[in-house]
Amino acid sequence: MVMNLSKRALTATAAGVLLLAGCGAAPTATIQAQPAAAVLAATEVETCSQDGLSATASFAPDGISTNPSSWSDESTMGKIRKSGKLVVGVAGDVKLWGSRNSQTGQLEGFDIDVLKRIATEIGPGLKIEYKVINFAERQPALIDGDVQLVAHTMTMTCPRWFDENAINFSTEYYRAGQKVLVRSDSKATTLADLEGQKICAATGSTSLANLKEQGGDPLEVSDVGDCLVKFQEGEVIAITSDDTVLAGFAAQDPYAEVKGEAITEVPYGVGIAPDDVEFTQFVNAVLEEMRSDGTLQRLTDKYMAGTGELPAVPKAVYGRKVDGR
Amino acid sequence: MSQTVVPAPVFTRNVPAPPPSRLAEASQAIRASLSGSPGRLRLISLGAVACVVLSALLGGWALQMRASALDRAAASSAHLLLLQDVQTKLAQADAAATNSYLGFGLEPQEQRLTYLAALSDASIELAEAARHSGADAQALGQANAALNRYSAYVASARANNREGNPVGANYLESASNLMRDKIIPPLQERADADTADVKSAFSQGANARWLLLLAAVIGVGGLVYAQVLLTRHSHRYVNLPAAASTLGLVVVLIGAAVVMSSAQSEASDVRDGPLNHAIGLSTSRVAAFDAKAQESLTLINRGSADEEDKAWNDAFDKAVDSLDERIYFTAKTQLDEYGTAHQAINQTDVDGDWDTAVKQAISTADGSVNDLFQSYSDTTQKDLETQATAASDRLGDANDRLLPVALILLVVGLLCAGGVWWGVSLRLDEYR
Repeated sequence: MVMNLSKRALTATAAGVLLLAGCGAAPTATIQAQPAAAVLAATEVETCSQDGLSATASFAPDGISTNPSSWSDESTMGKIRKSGKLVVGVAGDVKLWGSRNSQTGQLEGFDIDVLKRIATEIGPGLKIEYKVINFAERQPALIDGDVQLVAHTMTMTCPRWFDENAINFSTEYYRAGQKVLVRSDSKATTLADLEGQKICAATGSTSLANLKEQGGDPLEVSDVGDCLVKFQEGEVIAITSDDTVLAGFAAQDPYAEVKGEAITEVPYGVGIAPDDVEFTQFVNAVLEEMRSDGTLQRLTDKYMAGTGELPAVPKAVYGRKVDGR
Repeated sequence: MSQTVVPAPVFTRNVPAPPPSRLAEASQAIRASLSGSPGRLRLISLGAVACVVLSALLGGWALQMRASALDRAAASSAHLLLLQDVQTKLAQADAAATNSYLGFGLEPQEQRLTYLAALSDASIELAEAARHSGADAQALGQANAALNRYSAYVASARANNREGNPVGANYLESASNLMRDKIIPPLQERADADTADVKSAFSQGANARWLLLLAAVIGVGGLVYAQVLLTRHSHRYVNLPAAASTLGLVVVLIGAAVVMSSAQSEASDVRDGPLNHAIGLSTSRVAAFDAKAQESLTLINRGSADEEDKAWNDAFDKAVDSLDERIYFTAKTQLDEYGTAHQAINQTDVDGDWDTAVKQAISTADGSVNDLFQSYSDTTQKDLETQATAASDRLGDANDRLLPVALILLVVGLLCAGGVWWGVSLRLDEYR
């Protein structure tokens, strides 16, 4: 297992270097549909066998923009604008990404700011109704129509695009990596170093799937925030999750530290109801604007500064077709 | 040559016959004393005395059994009410902790003090309740250990909330889960054992009356039969000392039956009255505080509200169902008013106006959800104290009369035995 992990770490490190090289250029202002294979950022995330495209590939805006005149009569954006309310699924306990400010009671974080921008583009003054959901509830909430968007440190994966509970994803807006959080005096930096010891991970997360795949001994919790409780109470020796989530934990516990290299590349996308292509195209158009006007870069700096080397804002990858599913 | 064989001399000793043993002498004397008419009279006398003494002992035992059963019922009832009080205080503490968490780290001082007082009282009462039995010590000891962990979780939740760390909400939820999974169940288990023990004690008490009836049959029956035999032997219809003894025994046995029946009736009244009311009120309060905690937890987990509001409705329905509307109309009305206010808050949250819902949930203004709940809590607490005190006092009072009557029965029984013996002795004197 150690050998496998070392290989994975090397691959991930190399991928990170290539990724930074590929994403270092200034964001482009124009929307360009690019084939997945031509984009460097996509080479290290999985390629879906169903259509041969990267998991980060989404639907190109193709004429759909933030201008309501470009929307169809039956578009979700139009309906939301008319109702005056956008219902979204978010995390409530992931500091820096989606958590309640205990002084104001308001939800705040990277994901919250992305959703606020999308809401603003649908209609000025549009009200956002937040539904705090856990990891495992993200896809069902979209499929059942309980929420219209999910921004919840959600990893874009092929199974989530194509399996039974498939949903749509926007283009990638942040590139995270799965890491481990341990006590600051621990020498462990990888899952292999923690072999045979209890490691906490959230049910329904890709981190848990990776941990199980590598033979780890997981303690599953429904809310990832519970992992920090288990860690501080000594019930687990480490937590594995996205470095974004772990950075939020480390910010809450001075004796916790995120160590080592990313085990896997974790591209974040906004979750959208399956088959709502036009809404997906609209969200992608908003994200393009956020890339081009520097908003995504500012959000990265605002929330992730001080958590280590910051990843570049990922470029959009397009090419996914409606009939590709 | 012949030889004469002389037989060997035989030595004999003149040994006197052994004296009759003392046992044989006593046996002979008894046989002599019991033979003939005087002997039969003595046998009648002995039989009558034995019946009276046995009757007094059985009657005393019956009364003692009833007293012991009532004692057990009173002790188990008191323990049951104590456990219910612990559960109420814990639910109250949890409701205060969760509601004050909604204050974004700046919790109302009054709520903080309510939490601390409720937790402290619960901890003291839990230690007291654990002394009731070995099973209580084990189960409640575990609950107390979990309670220590609970208070540590709430302290972590509060500290993190004040520092703006979202993990505070996770600590609070872990604390609430601990309360529901590890603290309340052992308390409920012991409360159920108390309920079963109260039932068993009442059932055991009911058996005592059959023992008293047996005592009456043996005592009175024995005396009457003895007098019939006396009449045959003495040809006199009435033996005054024996008749007086019979009357005395009948009177004291009737008195014992009346006192026992009265105690039984009083105990049943207490069980169906104050004790049941106290348990109902207590159950309602535990469920109502649980509903209040669920209300806050739903708001803390922003976005988790839905129309069904299942956790709150389950607890609220239990609180309502445990209240007898015919007796506690005011409390029931206050609870309904709180329920209506809560439903409005939940609907506000479901409709997406979480901020307003939180403001309403933490408000203590007149007519606010907290104010309405407090009215219900104050009313039921007062009612509960009244009923619990009545149950405890009346069970004690009912029991107080039983043991003195048992003592009187024993003394009167001995006097009656003496009376019968004396009465037969008068007849025996006529043979001397």
